[in-house]
Amino acid sequence: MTIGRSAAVRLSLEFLVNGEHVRVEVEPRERLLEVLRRSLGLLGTKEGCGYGECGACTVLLDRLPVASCLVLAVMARGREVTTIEGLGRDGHPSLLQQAFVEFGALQCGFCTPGILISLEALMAEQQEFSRADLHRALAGNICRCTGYRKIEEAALAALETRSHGYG
Amino acid sequence: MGTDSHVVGRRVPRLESWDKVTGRARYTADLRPADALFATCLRSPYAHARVAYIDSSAAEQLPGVYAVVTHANAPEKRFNRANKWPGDLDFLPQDETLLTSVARHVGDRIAVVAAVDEDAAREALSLIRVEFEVLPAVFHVSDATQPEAPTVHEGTGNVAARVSIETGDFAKALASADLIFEQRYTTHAANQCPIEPHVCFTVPDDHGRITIFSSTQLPFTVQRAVANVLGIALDRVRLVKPEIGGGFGSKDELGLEALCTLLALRTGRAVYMEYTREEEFYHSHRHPATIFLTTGVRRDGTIVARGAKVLENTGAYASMGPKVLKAGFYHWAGLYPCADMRFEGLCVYTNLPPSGAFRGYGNPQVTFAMESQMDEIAAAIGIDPVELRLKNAVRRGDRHPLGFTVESCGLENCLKQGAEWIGFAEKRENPSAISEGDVQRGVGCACAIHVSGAQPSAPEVSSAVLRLEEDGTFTLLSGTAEIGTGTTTVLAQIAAEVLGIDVEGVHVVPVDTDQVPYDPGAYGSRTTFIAGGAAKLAAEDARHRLLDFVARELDVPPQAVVCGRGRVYVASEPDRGLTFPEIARAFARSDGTHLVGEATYSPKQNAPPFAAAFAEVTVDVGTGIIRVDRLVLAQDAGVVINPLMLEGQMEGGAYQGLGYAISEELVFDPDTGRILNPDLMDYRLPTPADMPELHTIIVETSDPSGPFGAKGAGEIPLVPIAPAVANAVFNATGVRIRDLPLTPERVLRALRERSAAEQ
Repeated sequence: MTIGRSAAVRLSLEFLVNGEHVRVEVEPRERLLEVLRRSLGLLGTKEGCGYGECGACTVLLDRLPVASCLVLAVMARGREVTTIEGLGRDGHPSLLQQAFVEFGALQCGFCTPGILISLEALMAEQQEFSRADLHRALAGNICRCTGYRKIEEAALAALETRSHGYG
Repeated sequence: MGTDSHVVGRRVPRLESWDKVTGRARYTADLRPADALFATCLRSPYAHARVAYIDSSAAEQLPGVYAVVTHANAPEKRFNRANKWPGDLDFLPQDETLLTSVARHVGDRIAVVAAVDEDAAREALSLIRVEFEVLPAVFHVSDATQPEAPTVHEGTGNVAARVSIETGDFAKALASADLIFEQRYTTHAANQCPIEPHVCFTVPDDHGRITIFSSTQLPFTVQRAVANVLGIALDRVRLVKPEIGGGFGSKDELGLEALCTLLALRTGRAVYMEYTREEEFYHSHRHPATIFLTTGVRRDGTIVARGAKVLENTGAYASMGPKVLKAGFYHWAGLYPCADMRFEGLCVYTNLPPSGAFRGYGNPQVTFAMESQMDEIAAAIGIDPVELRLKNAVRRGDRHPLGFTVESCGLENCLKQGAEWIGFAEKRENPSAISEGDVQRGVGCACAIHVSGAQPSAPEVSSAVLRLEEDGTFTLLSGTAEIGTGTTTVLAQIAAEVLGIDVEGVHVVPVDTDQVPYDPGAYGSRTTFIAGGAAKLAAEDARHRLLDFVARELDVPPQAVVCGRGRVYVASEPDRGLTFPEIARAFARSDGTHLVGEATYSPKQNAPPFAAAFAEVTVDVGTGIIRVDRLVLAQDAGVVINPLMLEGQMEGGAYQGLGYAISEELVFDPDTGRILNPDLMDYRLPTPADMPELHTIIVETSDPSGPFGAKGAGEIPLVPIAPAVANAVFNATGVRIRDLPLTPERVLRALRERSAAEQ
């Protein structure tokens, strides 16, 4: 009988995380969420349920939002992963991050990384979006604190800023 | 620093915002030591069963297992997870042990294992052999109070607490009424659902002390509880509270900390524990209640007699059930003052998982009942529901049942402004005009009162220390727990306002019981009022010392100097003064210490916040589906320290109130007592698409006892939503539903019963 992780089979895995090439040893059954948090120390991605219902662990896998608790780490081989730590550029926060702060679109903050990732994907995918698009983009994310109103305001404001060529 | 501040009242973004939007904020699980053992519980699959035999030897022998504890080798100390004040040891039944030989609910703790990792720990659990003798179980309060009912706790008759209060002569006053309204209402179990489940870890050091990191709303209270349950000295226990991923009351009690610490002490190793989402659902929920209201009214709408009988299902352990029941009394009694009142409450044990604190704390249940009944009274006597409320509601100067005088009350303006915004009078008069086919529309309203802390019935107290640092900034030490509500920001604003500096000039230290002064925690809408009150007094103390010191330095009388624009200067000669860094250096040179302000604040006065909610709903009479199209929430929280944070509380509270009203319900298997929907797919939280157009109205008053006139704000927005929605459904369909939540099945059944009755 094999007890504990120390005795388990390990695979070498290479992929891109937030634009950087990484190589880690993983177990075949390890989830992407665990590898990001434990092996790579990217602690911004959160676990709220472990079965893909809360969305706190959302990351971008090849630019599409996925629940990283439902993705085996080995499935990321050769692909590109973006976490909350990878948002913004050269130390400058993204328009969404700025709007979230300004509009008070977060409270406890535990769902915030996943929600920002889902909304960044929407921003990247669509030049314009409506409230209905926002609802679709957030269908996999639960926020228990805000009632979503300030999140929507912030997202629409970030879009507005981009449309006017600011930031 | 430098601007003329007036920090209070500004929309200051929360101070930890940037950490939270960049992933830098650290929560308990993020700080887990790499070498910590993983611990997890063996839980009862039965609602009521005696452990006839338990053998953990195979689990103990498994490689990687460090400790296995069952009731046979666990501390026997009986406790109540909700003990907070010294008096609670008498008031709350001490009916629980860390591990039990009698399971009283599905999920009750039978054994716990600490192992090298999660796999080993779960494997070890599967090797513990338990034989249960299954006992008869009881789930409903009406069954549990029968003489032949199964006994949850010996010698209690399944009554954990009884509250019986009468003022004046209720029977006589009722006899004098023109009309008597008697109705029965029921409310359900709803889970708090913080997105971060309970989590903690304990690290023993080499000197016999232990440090607990925990996602708790009550750092000092849990520190004391751990010491008490494990029988160790308080000074051996240190508690650190990192960022918390939501609480809403679920973390308002002793959680996993004592069990985790027990294992750390037994193994000498760091031990980590966390709930699965399923365990989180079993942890606690809002008390289901059955409420009978008897109200005597004159023909003009004046209430002359008020009676209530409340049966509250506390589940397998009393926890804070007795307090929740008492809170239900004073919220019920406080909203519509009446000389002749009778309240009878029973807190009843059953074999359901224990109920606990959830934003509102006994208030949503009684407010659903009384605000639904107010609507029934208004309809019966033909008076506008807003007018009926205004006629009877509490006013400034009234005596509150907790024993203080209400010194500010914006309820009338909440009702009037909310009604105006939604167009209440026109829409209510003519709901058919906005209805078509199977879709019927209507509007409804409800109001609520809450508290700012538990005083004067509980010995509330907070302390704060404010220290001037060498660089001229201030460090604020407060024991209150930021749980996402904006506490840190609001306390910094209060201190900055007193000192005439920008909010960036105040650094609020995260809670560590070794570092910050005592505070019982974040609950009861107490933080702004009490911890904020302490912060204001501490800042005033610091200002007093600053003015004294600078006056001496400048050789002028103390009353000649003032604080402002980041300096202390002579009022008549603004150029003559010292900046805070200069003061800090001068102070260190002359007095050789930090300049410190400190205060302990223990208010005897309370300051109720008020709210009114208006809902506009669409009812599909073919499917029973309710859609809340528009929701208006008007709230009086005194002087607003930070409108951005207050709106956040109002919107989030309204959201949780909406879930409570229409979709969130823990469903228990009627035969086994298991939760049938302990996951976030089947426990239906409203999604962004379910959210109505939500409008918040801040009605500002100023309470003389609050810091800068502020009152509590966090809980009340949830409270009036459910009755406002139920009243709107009545307005839309003519059907009165007295049971929450207003799910499609329930609405459809009510519509069909009405149709059947009409035929």
